[in-house]
Amino acid sequence: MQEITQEMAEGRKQRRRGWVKNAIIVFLAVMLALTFFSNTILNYSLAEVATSRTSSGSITTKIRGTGVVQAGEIYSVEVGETRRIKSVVTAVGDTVGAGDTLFLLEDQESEELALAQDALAARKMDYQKALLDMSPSNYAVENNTVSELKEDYQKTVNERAVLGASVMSVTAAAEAVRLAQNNADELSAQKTVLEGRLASLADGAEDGGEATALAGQLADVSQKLIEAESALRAAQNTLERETSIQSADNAVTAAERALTQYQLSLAATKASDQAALTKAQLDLNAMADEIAALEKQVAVLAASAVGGEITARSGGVVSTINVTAGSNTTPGTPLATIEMTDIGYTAQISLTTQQAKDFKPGDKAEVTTGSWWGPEVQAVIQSVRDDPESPGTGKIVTFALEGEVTSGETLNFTLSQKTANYDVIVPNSAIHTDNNGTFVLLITEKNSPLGTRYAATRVDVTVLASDDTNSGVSGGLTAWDNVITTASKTVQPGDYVRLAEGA
Amino acid sequence: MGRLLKNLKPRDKIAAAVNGLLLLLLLGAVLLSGYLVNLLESQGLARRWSADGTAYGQVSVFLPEYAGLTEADIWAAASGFDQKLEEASMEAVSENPDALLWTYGYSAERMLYVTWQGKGAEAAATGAGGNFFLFHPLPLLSGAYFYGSDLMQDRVVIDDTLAWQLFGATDVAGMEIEIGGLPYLIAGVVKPEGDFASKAAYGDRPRIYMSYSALLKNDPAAVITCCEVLLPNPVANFAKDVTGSVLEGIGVAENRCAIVENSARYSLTGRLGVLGEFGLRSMRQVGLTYPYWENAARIMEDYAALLLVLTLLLSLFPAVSLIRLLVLLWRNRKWRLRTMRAEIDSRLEARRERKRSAEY
Repeated sequence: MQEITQEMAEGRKQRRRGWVKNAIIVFLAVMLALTFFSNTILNYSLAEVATSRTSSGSITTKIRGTGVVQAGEIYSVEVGETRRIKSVVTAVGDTVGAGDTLFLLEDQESEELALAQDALAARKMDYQKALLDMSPSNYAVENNTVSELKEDYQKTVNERAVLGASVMSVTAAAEAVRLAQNNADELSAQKTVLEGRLASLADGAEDGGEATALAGQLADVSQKLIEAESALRAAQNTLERETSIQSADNAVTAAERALTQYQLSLAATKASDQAALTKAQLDLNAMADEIAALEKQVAVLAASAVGGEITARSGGVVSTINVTAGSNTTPGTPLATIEMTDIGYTAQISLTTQQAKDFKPGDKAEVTTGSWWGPEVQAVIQSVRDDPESPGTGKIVTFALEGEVTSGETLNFTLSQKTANYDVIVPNSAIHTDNNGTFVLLITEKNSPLGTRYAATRVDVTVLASDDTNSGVSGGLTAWDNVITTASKTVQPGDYVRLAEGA
Repeated sequence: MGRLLKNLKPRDKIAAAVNGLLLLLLLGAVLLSGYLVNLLESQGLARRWSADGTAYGQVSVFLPEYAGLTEADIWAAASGFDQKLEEASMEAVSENPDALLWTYGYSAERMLYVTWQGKGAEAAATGAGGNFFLFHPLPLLSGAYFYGSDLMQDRVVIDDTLAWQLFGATDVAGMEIEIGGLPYLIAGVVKPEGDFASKAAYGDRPRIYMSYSALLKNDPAAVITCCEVLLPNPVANFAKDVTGSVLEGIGVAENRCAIVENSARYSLTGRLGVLGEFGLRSMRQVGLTYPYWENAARIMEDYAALLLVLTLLLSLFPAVSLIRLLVLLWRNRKWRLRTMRAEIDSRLEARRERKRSAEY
């Protein structure tokens, strides 16, 4: 039993030893495999990079633009009258010479001439009517009235002259009549009193003296009364005469006033009539001028009538035709445009001020037409001027073109800035930027017991010039250095990388 | 250890095994989450520029077509950023004259028909300006990118799909293509990002990148609907706040655009924010159409939020088990607080005694 127990313990010990041995073998095998493949495993965890050798050489910055070919000068075919087009005898693209027929017109007067003639006739009729309305005024009735008024006036003057000069005023005469009347009345009353007293005495016959005195007083009063009544009649005559004189004076004044007023009224009427006549004369003059202008217009239209056709003023290529047969021409609207190809062709491109700063008239540009088999075209800068649509920031560069070009054709222009040589040139894709500036990642080799390893080392550079693919740089690089151009994932300075196949 | 395992009850053994498995899965989820959030290169410019220790924030602004911007607005905004950074006393610390304190890019989206010698293809066109390709370092198959500062703005970058459809090759940098009758020089050929989110958002449609001014020549109605800016971010949200302030300065109301702080969108708070917007996130209220890189970033946000939920769920059972273990250990402890003082005193006395014995 004890032996069995001992054998079992021995067996357990051997199994434990076997397990430990196996574990050690597996561990060593794994470690060996990791040692052999560590470089490979490590490499596949690294970013794969493509590299490029730096070089030295030149950088030429190129400026590109696209422009449309157009003739050096274009003129518009226009007519100054409305005519119906019978036929269009040219087509876009046709080459025409000076005097060649472009359009045939219907055989009829232009609408403008017919309208002008109608207007002239109507205006002449108006002129004749106005002349008839301008007969001078007849003042016979008014003059007769003036004569009558003058006669009336003279009559009153004569009547007044008959009455003689006035001695007093009517008021004074009336006062004199009143005083004479009062005096006569007073004397008459005294006479009556005296006559009564005398009669009473006669009845009594007592006192003959008193009656004599009274008779004497009565005779005296009667004598005074007679005188007073005579004076009253004289005063009354004077009043009547003065009244007549005053009436005659009033009649003279009224006649004179009536005459004057009528004469003034007549003068005003004559002045008004004269003004109206002057105005009518001016209107008539204006009408005459208008008629003259219309006559001139009719003459001009008649003289400038294009007849039955419209011809080209100078030779060139028809670039547009804006009308068709049956339509009307419109004054001021181009019927067609003709490019004067004798002057040559131009094209324009828009550039920024920065792009255009190194170019001047006379510089040449490369021209491509978009197809390999296109004809050769030479382009020379004709002008560089400000772009009115982008003042201060844009320029319009105009090229003079030579070669086989046609109007409307699109050309691509390439201008080359001055070429400069640089000691170190790197691909643009190798240049990076961050908060510490511009840099490239240089490949540096590190040898280890397991092989060569590659690390990305940051080298700060300054970009001096760039073209579409490369940049000239200065800094800690030399020609023939190996720089990273692209990577399968982000590479930070100091990272280990693996080179792409064939790098 | 073996004895400990022997003494465990079967239930505890199962629990330990489950916990081990869950912790492994948890580790996997955390590693996957970390991998995913660093996968999008278009979200990583701040990380790349922060490598020297300077904190940067990458902010994207997306606008609807009706509120799109012009280049004049962009220049006004650039001036606003300069002013804000100057007010904050920030300036480039590098002595290199080409060093940038901050940078920006912008883009508009359209469709264009691209031709080369009779062959043609309709392509999604991105009219790019500023340092667009700093934000979007698409892998180059040939050639180079173009930048807003280039003298000529007639160079384009095409993707491998368009290069293949037109030329049957990808090494075509320097060739000329035509769009709307105008020639354009191919500066480079790129391939789309290889991650699953970018692939899904990018789609199969060929794509061409051209300068915004060149896009305007072909479509005068094109407006800028995406602006991206990289700013120093010394404190949290500085870059985003400055961006909002500058936009307000040029008349862009915040409710008419979406401002995204890319640098923080995958942080724990960012992912919790995505979870908090669950459901609401699907709504579009300002007529926004995101470019493909933002759609990819949003896909990644969703996955990151999902992984956060998974991480929380996976850590739930181990956390409960840990608490249970701590409670058990506490209950089965062989020491008490009141006996600890006497124990410490006796140990100190014994030590002093040993020291005295050694001296004598």
